[in-house]
Amino acid sequence: MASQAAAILALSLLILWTSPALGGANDAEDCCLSVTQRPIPGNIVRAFRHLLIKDGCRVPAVVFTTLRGHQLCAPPDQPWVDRIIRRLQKNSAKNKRHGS
Amino acid sequence: MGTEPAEQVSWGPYSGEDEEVYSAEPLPELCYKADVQAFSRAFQPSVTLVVAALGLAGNGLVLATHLAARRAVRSPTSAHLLQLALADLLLALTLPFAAAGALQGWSLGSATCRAISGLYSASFHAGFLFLACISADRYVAIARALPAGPRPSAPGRAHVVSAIVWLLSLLLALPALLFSQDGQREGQRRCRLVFPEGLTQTVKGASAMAQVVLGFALPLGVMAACYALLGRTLLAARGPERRRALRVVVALVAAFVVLQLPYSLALLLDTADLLAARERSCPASKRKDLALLVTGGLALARCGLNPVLYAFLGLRFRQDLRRLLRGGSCRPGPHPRGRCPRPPRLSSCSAPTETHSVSSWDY
Repeated sequence: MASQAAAILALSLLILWTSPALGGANDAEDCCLSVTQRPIPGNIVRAFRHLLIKDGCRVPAVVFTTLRGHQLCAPPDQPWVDRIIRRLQKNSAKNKRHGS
Repeated sequence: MGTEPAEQVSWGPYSGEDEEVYSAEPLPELCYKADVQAFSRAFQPSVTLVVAALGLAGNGLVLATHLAARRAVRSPTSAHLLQLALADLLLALTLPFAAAGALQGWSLGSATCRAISGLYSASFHAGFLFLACISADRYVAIARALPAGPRPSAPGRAHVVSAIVWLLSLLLALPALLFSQDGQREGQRRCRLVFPEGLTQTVKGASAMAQVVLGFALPLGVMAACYALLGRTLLAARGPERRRALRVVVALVAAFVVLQLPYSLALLLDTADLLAARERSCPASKRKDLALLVTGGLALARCGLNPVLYAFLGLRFRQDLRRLLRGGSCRPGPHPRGRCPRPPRLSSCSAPTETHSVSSWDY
């Protein structure tokens, strides 16, 4: 009985196998390797974009482009990150209205 | 004391110094891998296409030779060699798709992405597992041949083992079949495996552990044990064929160590990183990607070289191939369209020095 249970357990684990990617190796994507836990001041941020697991990254992150062109990695689930994103979105909407 | 505390400066209006305060302490930045990607764009398609050409030609020849000889599969080793050729042929069939996808993006849609990824994954695993089967078959054949002479082994059992291996490989390919998707990134569509975000860390950890234990340790253990025992048996044996048989074993083990082991080790280290949630610096991460790329290419080359190592070195295969190339006759001339007379052990085409105990495992 125990060996049967072990076999079933092993099979169910096998189903979750992570196999090598098509082409032999995983793609070397531009990704964040870690995220900052310390809030970034919102006023030095110029733009943002998401790099998530579906983009081939292991660490999901919001990437903030600073005024100097640095690309800082922030956690996507923090309220301070959401605040900066909302402000950037509001600003870009305002700019569009001004532009038209 | 005229200066403000740093904390307040950084929150003040942007003055140009704020970032200096922040970049003084390293903040995690995006890791650009443009150089690795450039290397990958050149390396991956060229390796893939060369291996595809080798694999299609070599494994196609193995299967064609077998079909042309119309011989019932006799030993478990020959049955597993055929399955290995089939697995490698299927793998080689998926490679042109991978090369095209790497060169100009995936343009065949999500369903094809799943099918090709699934086939790739299943045949990759099947090949690895059949290699372990062959090592076990060879040990069993030698161990049986030595003390009491060869006993015929049931061919039915080899088919059962083959069926189990394919079933297992399909199971292992399930994630690729289910979760591969064609996603867009920076203007290029890619076909890649993306696990659903809902999977918890424990599930991921368990699956990675299963991968290491069953995908790495098990086949490696089987092969190491079988070839070590086989080598010991051969070293203890006497006879003219001993050297030749030993040479084949050494070639097989060396090829496996050079081609497959580096990728398995790189994958093992990568999995350890994933499990420990270890953070690497950007240069270290790029080195790791490069290592996975190069060793992955080597592991792929295995599928193109398997026919050379496993089939072409065998006696019976060479006879059959000769027959195939000469249109069904053993020698040009004396035997008009006749099949080569085939006594139960060795045909008259083979060299007289090669004797039964070799042919029983060295197909």
